[in-house]
Amino acid sequence: MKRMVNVLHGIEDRLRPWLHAILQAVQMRLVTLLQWLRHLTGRRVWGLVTVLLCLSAFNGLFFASNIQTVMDREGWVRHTLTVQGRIDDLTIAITQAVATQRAYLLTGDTTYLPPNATSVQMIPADITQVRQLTSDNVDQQRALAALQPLITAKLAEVQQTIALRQAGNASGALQVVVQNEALHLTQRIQQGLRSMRGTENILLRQRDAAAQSALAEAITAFVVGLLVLIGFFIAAGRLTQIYLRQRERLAAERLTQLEEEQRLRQTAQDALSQRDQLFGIAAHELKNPLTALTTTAQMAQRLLAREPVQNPRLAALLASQTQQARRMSSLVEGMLDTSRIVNGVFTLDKKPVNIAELVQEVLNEVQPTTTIHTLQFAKPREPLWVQGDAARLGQILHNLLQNAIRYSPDGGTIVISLTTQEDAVILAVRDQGIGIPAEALPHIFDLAYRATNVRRYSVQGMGVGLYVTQQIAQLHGGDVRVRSTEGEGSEFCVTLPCLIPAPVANLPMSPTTHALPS
Amino acid sequence: VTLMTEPTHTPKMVLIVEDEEPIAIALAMIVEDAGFTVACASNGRIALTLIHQQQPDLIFTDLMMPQLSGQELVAYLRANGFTDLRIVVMSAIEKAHMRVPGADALLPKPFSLEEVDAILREFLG
Repeated sequence: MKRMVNVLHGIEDRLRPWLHAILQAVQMRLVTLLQWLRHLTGRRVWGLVTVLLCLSAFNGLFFASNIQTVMDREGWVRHTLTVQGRIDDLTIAITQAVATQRAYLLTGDTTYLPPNATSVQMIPADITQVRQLTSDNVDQQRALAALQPLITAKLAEVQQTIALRQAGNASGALQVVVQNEALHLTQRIQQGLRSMRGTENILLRQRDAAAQSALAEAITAFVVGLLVLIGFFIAAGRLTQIYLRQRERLAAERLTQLEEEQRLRQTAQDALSQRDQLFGIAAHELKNPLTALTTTAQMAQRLLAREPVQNPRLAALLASQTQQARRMSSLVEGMLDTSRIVNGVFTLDKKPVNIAELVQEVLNEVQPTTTIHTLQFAKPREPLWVQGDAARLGQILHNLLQNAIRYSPDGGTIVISLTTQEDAVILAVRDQGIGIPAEALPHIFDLAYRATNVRRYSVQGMGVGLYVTQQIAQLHGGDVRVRSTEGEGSEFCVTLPCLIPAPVANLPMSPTTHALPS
Repeated sequence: VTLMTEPTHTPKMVLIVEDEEPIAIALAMIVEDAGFTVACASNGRIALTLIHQQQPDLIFTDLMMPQLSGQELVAYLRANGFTDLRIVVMSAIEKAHMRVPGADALLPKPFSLEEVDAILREFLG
């Protein structure tokens, strides 16, 4: 054991600078590892911790088992040394017994007798001990068994000669001692004991070598295990670094991407708002030339009408010019309304409006513009009040009537009705025109949408009318809905919140509410 | 004799203040055709000189003009004793956004012959 400690100390001295460096590296890796662990999900953390624990536990157990082996082998070495000690004890005891016997026989000095008796007494015990200690060794047992009768004989000779001398027969005693047989016996005993000791020496060398190699193995295994652990730590640290760097790079990339996206969005928004503004300005700037165009054409018509000789072709041209100028004005209004809605500056001047009266006024304005369409409207007797912008509400009806006229190229009756439903007013415009294809119905209120069948009838427009109409209705807290069958006509229903709910019974346009009980 | 032949009542006078010449010409023609005397000014400053010289009964004025704007002109006239003068403000601005204190009527562009006729009928009768 002491040898092993010495060996370990030697190794430690050599390894200390290395261990120091390794510990520092491990500490640093541990810090990055902990940083990494914070970023990892639970499953990965436990996986890593498990791997680390397994590695450490395996290394510890392996080291412990190796140390056990080393200690076992050291035990055998100790055992051999003990055996050698007992053999030496036996040798000394025999040598002393013979020496004190000789001295007493020659001198007759009785002081030699007690040590002689002690040695003689010790010998059987020593033999027993050696036998017990070498019980696992057949060779030694055999050698000891061969020696035992010789030793017994020798001890018998010693006791016999001492007894002779004590009885006064000194020469007889000496005669026994110098006998060839007695000398030979001593020699054989000493030879046998040397041989036994030699056997133990060989064993000692073998066992010592085994113990040394076990220790070397244990240390090697431990160092290798430690290196593997350290390697794992270093790899984990390296991975952490790579992972963190990757994360940083990804974050930076994402940020750049985000900035680029924001920049693009801003550019697009700027372009859009610039476009919308330009759109508004352009529409606005068109108003001056349109004023001049409208008034000059109308004035020319007036002057022509006063001429004594009629000129129908010139009159037709001027009428067309006036009509086109009016149309252009309404297109410009549509553009401006769209621009205001899109830019969020579409404002309403809300006041209580008698919608029944307003509808009548608009119809009076629109009826003269067509000769082939009949506008049919039964004005409710009671006023119907709506909180809204009269001009804008009129615009809704204007747009719907214009569409009804435009999309009924063969003329016909256009029925306008005004009804109430709970606390809402419903203004409906029903025509018998070309109708709207089913697939177009969900889109007709979209900006710049034009149904597929309008081209067939060469009806022109920008596709802003219904968009503006819907927006105005919604700004009044209302809604516009459509029902249409292609080829049979369309019905647009504008729902507006009623300011003062009118009694339903007074509405002639809703006869269904008076269904007779059967 | 010459005094006797002079008309006993001079025709009413209309001043058109408009920097857009085509509009000014068309409007002048309409007003003249309706039997009124017309004068034109291309900005508020010239308009002021003419108003002082010729004492018009009705003014058609644009809002956005160089030198003196429509609002400034109306404000000046109302502040300087021209209370009987009828003022019609023309503009490409949406009617709801035209805030001109002191104006008698608002005429959003593009307007039609009928609208001008109606104004002339209403104010000069």
